[in-house]
This record gives sequence, C-alpha cells and structure tokens, in this order.
Amino acid sequence: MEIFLEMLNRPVEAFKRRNEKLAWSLVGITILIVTVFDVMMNDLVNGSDYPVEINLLKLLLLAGLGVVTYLGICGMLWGVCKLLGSQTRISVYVKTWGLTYLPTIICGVTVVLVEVYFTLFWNNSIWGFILNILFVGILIWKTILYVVFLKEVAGLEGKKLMIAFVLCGIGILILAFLNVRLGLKTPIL
Amino acid sequence: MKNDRDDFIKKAFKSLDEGSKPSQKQKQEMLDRLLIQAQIEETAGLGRYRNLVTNYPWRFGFGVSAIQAVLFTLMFGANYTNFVLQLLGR
Repeated sequence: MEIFLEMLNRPVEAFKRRNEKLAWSLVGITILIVTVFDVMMNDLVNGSDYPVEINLLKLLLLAGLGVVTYLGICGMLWGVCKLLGSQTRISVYVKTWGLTYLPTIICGVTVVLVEVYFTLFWNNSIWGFILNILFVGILIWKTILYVVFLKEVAGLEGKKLMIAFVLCGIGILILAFLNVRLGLKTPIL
Repeated sequence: MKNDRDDFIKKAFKSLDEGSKPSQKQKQEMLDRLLIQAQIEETAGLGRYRNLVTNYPWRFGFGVSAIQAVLFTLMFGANYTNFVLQLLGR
C-alpha cells in the first residue's frame, strides 16, 4: 500500500525506487480491464438484449497486443532518448514505465463504464461535466508523469527534454491510434 | 594457548565491528535516499512550483481540469459538456 501511495503522490521517488513488480502489475491490470472487464461488463449489463459473443482467442490476441504495445512504447522511449544522449538501459524503461499506468487504469475503467451505461450518461449535462473533468484530468496527470519520467528515468533536461517530449509524443499518438484501430479501446500506453 | 584465545577474541571483535558497518549496497541506498530527500526539499524559486506539480500530480491534473471545465462550459455551454461523450459515442 505504501509503494502504491508513493506512486500516486511522489512519482519521482517511485521512479527512482524502480519497483518492477508494481509496474508490471499496473500494466497487467490495465490489459485485463481493456479486455476481460470490458467483455464482462458488456455481457452483464447488455447481454440479455444484445448477446455478447465471448471469443477467447480474440481476448488473448488483444492481451498479447497490449504486451507488445507496452514493449513497443518502452523501446520507442529508449530509442528516442538514446539518440538524445540518455545513458539509461532499455531494461530500466521496461521496469519503470508501467509505474505511469495508474491514470490509464482509471481511464480504462471509466471508458468501459461510460460505454456500457452510455444511455444513462448521454445528453446529461452534469455527467458530461464530471466526465469532462475526469478525462482531461487524467490526460494532464499522465502528461506530468510522462515529463517526470523523461527527466528522472531518461535523465534528459532542457532542450533535449523538450525534443524528446515532442518526438515521443508523436510516437505515443501513433501507437494510440493503432491500439484503438486494432480493438483496444483504451490504449495500453 | 593464550595467544590463540587473544586471536579468537580479536577476530570476534573484528567481525562484530565489520558486521555493524553498512555494506556497499546499503551505502548506495542511503545515498539514493539522501539525494531524493534533497530534491524534494528543494523549495526555493521555481523548484517550489515544480514540486507543486510533481508531488501529487493527480491533484494538479484534476484541479486544472476542473478550472478548464468551468471556464469552457461558461463559454460554450452544454455543447462543451457533451464533448467527451460525443467522442466516445462515435
């Protein structure tokens, strides 16, 4: 619990401590939410009206795609940062980037719930307002963690940090687009 | 015989002394903690604002988000509050 709170409230310390178990657990939970939880909720809530076909192979493929995406983004971050002079090894990225997945988990759960109960939320100003705060807040939170990661883990500063932010940002957008196109409603990023 | 006993006592004291010293790994951990602490306690100038963002990033994120939601809702009305739902409902 203490490690979890550290990740939530003091990400700089958490990145330095490099708890790979927590990082990989967060990635695993995100993948489970986007695959299993999504199908489960759809079946539970809308299953009687619109039967949900549970395709285990598709779920496994999507989970595999999630793992590949995680390794892909770590590789991309490592490549860009190395070009800019970072000395950090790729294994450190794989062990640490997962620590930024807390907002991704919240986003994943929210996306599933909003989709499942869409009629409840649609055209409701109060829910629209709350969800707006939630999604934009998650985006800002994740962006802060992304910058802190580039600074503390990759060891970049100043202009190099700015260049890495833009280049990796483009890479993240491409990966997010590919994830959504291939069926992962919340990108595993 | 006496020499053997003295040696034994000396060795015992030496091992006790060595055991109480931190290992290389422990020294590294202590140094890491001190560096982290020093960074956190950087409270002057820009560092204070940086700490405001990097410590509790969720609080800063949702705080800024709430402000933008209020401002843009006042400017654009209900269209803006449904903006996110429109994106998800495509």
